[in-house]
Amino acid sequence: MSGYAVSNWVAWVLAFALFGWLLYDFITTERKYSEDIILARVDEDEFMVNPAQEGGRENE
Amino acid sequence: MSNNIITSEVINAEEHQYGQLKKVLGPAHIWALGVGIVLVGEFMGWNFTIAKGGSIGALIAMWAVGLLYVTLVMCNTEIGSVIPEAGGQYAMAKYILGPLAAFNVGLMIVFEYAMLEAANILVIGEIIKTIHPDVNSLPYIFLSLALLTVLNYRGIQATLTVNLVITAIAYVTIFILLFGTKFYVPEASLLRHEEMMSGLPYGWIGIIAAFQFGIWFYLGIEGTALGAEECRSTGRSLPVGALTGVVTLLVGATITWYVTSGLVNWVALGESVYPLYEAALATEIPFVIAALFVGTVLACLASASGCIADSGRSWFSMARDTLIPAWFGGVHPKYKTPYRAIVFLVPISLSFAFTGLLDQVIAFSILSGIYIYLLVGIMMLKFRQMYPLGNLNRGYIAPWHPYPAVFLIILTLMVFVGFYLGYAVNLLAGTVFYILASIWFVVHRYKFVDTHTFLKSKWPRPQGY
Repeated sequence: MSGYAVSNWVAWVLAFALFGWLLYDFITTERKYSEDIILARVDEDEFMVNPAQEGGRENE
Repeated sequence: MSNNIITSEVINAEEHQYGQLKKVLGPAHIWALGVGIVLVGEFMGWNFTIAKGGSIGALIAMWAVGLLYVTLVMCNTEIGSVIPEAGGQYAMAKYILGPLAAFNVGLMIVFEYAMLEAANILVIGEIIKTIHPDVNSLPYIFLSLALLTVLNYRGIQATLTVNLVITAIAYVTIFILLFGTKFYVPEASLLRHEEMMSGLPYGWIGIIAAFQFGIWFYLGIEGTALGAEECRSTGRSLPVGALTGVVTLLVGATITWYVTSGLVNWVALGESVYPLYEAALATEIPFVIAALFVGTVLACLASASGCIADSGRSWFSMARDTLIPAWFGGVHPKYKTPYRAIVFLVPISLSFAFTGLLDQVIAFSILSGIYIYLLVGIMMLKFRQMYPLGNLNRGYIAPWHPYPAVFLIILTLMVFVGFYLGYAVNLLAGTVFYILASIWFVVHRYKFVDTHTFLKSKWPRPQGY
């Protein structure tokens, strides 16, 4: 097997590992947190403040 | 659901700030988001302007379309600087034009970027395949998509920091090519513009036809507005990042045209898949060739990454505003990213990529983009009518109003004419698609829209309300 063929397999393994982690974390998150946490909205008064009207203040 | 499920009752939400995207971006990140998406267009695609309009026609199209984007960024930035929400032009449309226009703009953004993302990852695979006949493009296509999706899933700051670095490297490679030609020493210069260039082989109609491909130099820079909600200071980061971004692209586009037109014959250049890389091959300098190979791959990666970020945020915003099912509006409790929207769009992009109709996919992406530009021009005129200067404080004020908005509308209509000359069927099909989507929205979805959730910014009422 040439070095290029090996690199193809390494790329497949890495791709599946990354997609696997993504799927694992997605499912774990869905199971661990309730919808009210995941879909929660921060208090609109604080979240939607207009920075231009606030003099471009830092929103951290 | 697990018994160990965490709810807002058992966790102090004040400590964790659930439901909020992180505010971590500065002007450099906004620059990287915009330029990162676009820069790939300087490495490929733009050169079809030469096939349509010749070398001079391409130059005229490049500058005319450049003017379109300058006006677009001016309008975009003024409106975007007072709307600190994810969604960009979508968020603007919902405040200025209403739910139906917002739904269409949101959908257009999703398709513009999801299709561009598909094109980018395919090109990455194709470029890597040129290394050796034994190299298979498919694993690298999957690896690129997996890597970029995981990056975006885990956080916007890390994603755009990576984008900043790879975009900067890709941009520098254009300069490596420029200086590799020794253009500054007339006797030693590799550039032969007199031999390689053409005039206007198809006359003025060729220039108009070239407009749709001139879009490639800049397509996606408007995506800077999609990072508004995550800026530490929207009023500062958005104007600085977007305006420096468009200047960066104008400089890069001019250098790209200048170097490639002097190194590759206009007929070959008009058909090339990788014009900048082909120009590097023409120099026969190994370092320059290697640099442009790396630059092309990095430009594709940066573009695909920005597309994932932007399409996900648009889909997320539509869900959060109840225009589509609210489920897609979930924010990852740990990473503070729109993780459901990001994951949902991955298979959609992949399916576009594997239609095998790359030019059709790209044509639909461009069509979606130019519909948005037309609406931005209309929105700017309406925005100034609803909120004249002094009525609402802006982070940036576009000068010479209403000329930028009027120029934007006129130039966009010219691009539509160019699009019609090359892709009339796509223009018709795309338009019918958005009309059908609008009918679906009005008939089936509008009744679910929560108008209290939809508009939430504490703007003053518009003039004459």
